[in-house]
Amino acid sequence: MSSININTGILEQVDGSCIFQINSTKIISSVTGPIESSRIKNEIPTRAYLDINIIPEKGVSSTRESLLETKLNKILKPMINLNLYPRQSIQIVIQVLKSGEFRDYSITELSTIVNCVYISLLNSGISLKSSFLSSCCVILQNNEIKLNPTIDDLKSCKSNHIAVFNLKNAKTDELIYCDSLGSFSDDQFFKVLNYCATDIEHNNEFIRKSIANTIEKDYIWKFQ
Amino acid sequence: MTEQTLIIPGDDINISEPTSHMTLGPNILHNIENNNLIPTTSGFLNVQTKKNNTIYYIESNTKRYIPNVNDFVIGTVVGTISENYRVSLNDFSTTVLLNQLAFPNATKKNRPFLKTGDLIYARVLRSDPDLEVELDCIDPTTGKEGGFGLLNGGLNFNVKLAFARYLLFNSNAEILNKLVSKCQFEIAIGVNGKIWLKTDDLKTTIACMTSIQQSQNWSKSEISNKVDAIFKSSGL
Amino acid sequence: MARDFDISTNQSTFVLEALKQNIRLDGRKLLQMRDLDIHISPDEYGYVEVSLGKTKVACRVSSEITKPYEDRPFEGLFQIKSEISPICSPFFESGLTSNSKQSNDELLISRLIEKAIRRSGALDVESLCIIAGEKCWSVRADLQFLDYDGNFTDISCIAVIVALMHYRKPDLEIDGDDIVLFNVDQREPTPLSILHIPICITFQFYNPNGDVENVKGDSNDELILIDSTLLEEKISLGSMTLTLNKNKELCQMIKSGGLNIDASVIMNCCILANKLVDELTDKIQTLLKIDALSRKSGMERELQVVNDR
Repeated sequence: MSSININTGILEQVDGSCIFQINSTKIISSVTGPIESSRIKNEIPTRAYLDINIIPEKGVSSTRESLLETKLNKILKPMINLNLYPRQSIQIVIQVLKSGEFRDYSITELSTIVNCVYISLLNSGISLKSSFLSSCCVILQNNEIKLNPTIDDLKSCKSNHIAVFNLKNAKTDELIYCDSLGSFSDDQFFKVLNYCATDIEHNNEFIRKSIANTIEKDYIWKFQ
Repeated sequence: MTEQTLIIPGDDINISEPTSHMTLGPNILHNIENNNLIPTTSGFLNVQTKKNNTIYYIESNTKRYIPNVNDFVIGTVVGTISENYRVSLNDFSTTVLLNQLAFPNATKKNRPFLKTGDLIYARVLRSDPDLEVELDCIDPTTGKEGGFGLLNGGLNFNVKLAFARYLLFNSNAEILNKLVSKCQFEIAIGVNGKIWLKTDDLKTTIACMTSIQQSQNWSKSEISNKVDAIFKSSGL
Repeated sequence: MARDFDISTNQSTFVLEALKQNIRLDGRKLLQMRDLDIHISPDEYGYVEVSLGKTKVACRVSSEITKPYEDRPFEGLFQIKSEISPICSPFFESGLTSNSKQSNDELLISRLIEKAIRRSGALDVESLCIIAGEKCWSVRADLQFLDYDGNFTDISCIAVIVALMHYRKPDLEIDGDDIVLFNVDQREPTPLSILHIPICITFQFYNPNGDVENVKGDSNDELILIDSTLLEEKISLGSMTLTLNKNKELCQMIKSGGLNIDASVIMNCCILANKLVDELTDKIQTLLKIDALSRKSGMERELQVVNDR
């Protein structure tokens, strides 16, 4: 069982924010936009520019963070109605508070970041095409699939996987993104995807409840 | 308390009765291929049927304002470009334009002179995502001032957008009624989440501001007591 | 194009007018700090989250073993990272934007913290030496600025010093040429050697009659306040940061430009800062004591396991 802790709208100066903690990984993210592009080269005539920044738990950003930024950009681009905000920027900043894995790996981090940014985006009111959530898992030496891997699992596993699905009526619909590292068979891969999809649906129940709570709190002056 | 349906992106919106017309408000897009409605943010779904028209929109409380025609807004003048003032409606949002002649009875020779940092109450005249947004300070029905223009003195502060809309469109909003019973004040509410407030006394202004800002986290039953407490603690 | 916050003339005149009457928008007195909240992570060492009103900062201290600098063989390494990311406000641009005003602000803050903590010798770097000229500890403090409502300097200084005081580095033993590191379960980790607790207090100056009066006039009625909010910081006419410790030692004083201030006024500021520093130091020390009590030592933990059996 994974323990999830979500805290939404905690930051004052940005439009949307969220702290997402799952097991030993803790991420804070902010979304601001649409705002004026700070540089001319970021003004795209037909759509908004996604300005994504990932700041590591310790030290300065390196190629690892750049890679994560590129991956996140790939995941988010088709999920946001960017064409509604031409020439403007959407600024997404992610600060890793607790990584929960070694720097050689990034799957638990990326999957938490995706979930965290999703809630921040909802909090900021940026127009989305669909809901999306992510999950990650590993295949252990005994071919067992384990969701929410710990540091030790990652070190000893045969392969690690991350999957992002979009959600339609609280059910996983299409696979948005997946990334795997290690050796595994076709069968195992499809099994992994199913595992992730079930995990996402399971987590979604809790996440949806927390979104509902936030919105109710936002409207306390109106309905209570 | 009215029952509200919570909706998030990816949920289906049931088109209950096929009416001849459908009007889509904020946060809903239409998928032409399968005639579905797509919610684009999380919030409360509102469906209103009037005669042959059904209005769908999602009510959500955000911080950043996206200009819409005929909205009343409060902006800060941040500069001038040729014949226009550049006005900012939200921190770091793209600035909008206010023509120097967009005031009642303004002529080339006789027009209001605004400085950087001045606060204005205006109406959104044009908003096209591909063009620059324009404001004006003329009441479209009468052609007169209608309360628009420079806001002098007082203090402005920010609230969340849905709350600002609520205060503007409900003239008997509980918090304002309570404040009316406490003191006299002038108020201007912009749907871009900015409120301008002026009273005769510094302390009263601050107490009013604190009350309005904090009442975003209060339920209706708490308003009276908490406002009293704020006024008491500031010695009024 | 670098954008600043929109601050209307109405706001700035109102705030100044209120300050003249010793009123601040959040109901504080001029020389009153906001509530300081320090949250020490209960399940690890060296991670704290500090908030001062709406301003929020987190700090994480970590360490590793490296080679010391050749010209300083007896000293360990100590670095503070204080990059301000746009997570606390879009005002702080991401990446390297030289020449912009923001990066200057950022530079000022990072230099200030650097001087307050590193150069004042708060951390004894010689104690970080393991084998002279060959092996030493490298300690780094990563500041994470989360939310901005003024006064980043004071809060980040507190965050770094509390995180340093709370941090425990793994214990080690030197066995000939080899270093044996023990993990937390094997041996109780050791705290860093902190020589004193420097604390920054930033004062903001305003002149109710404008800055011309300040230079030409004789009256010394500048308004002074501490722990400014974002709005107050933006309309301030000058600021001064004092770094002091409990021993009444002044570690640094920075006043870069701004209003001319009389020496006697500065002395008064020092006296006031001294009082505040005493209060803050006491608060920090009590918090750390409570935290230490809540953590059981390794021995006790083992005993408990035995008892459970």
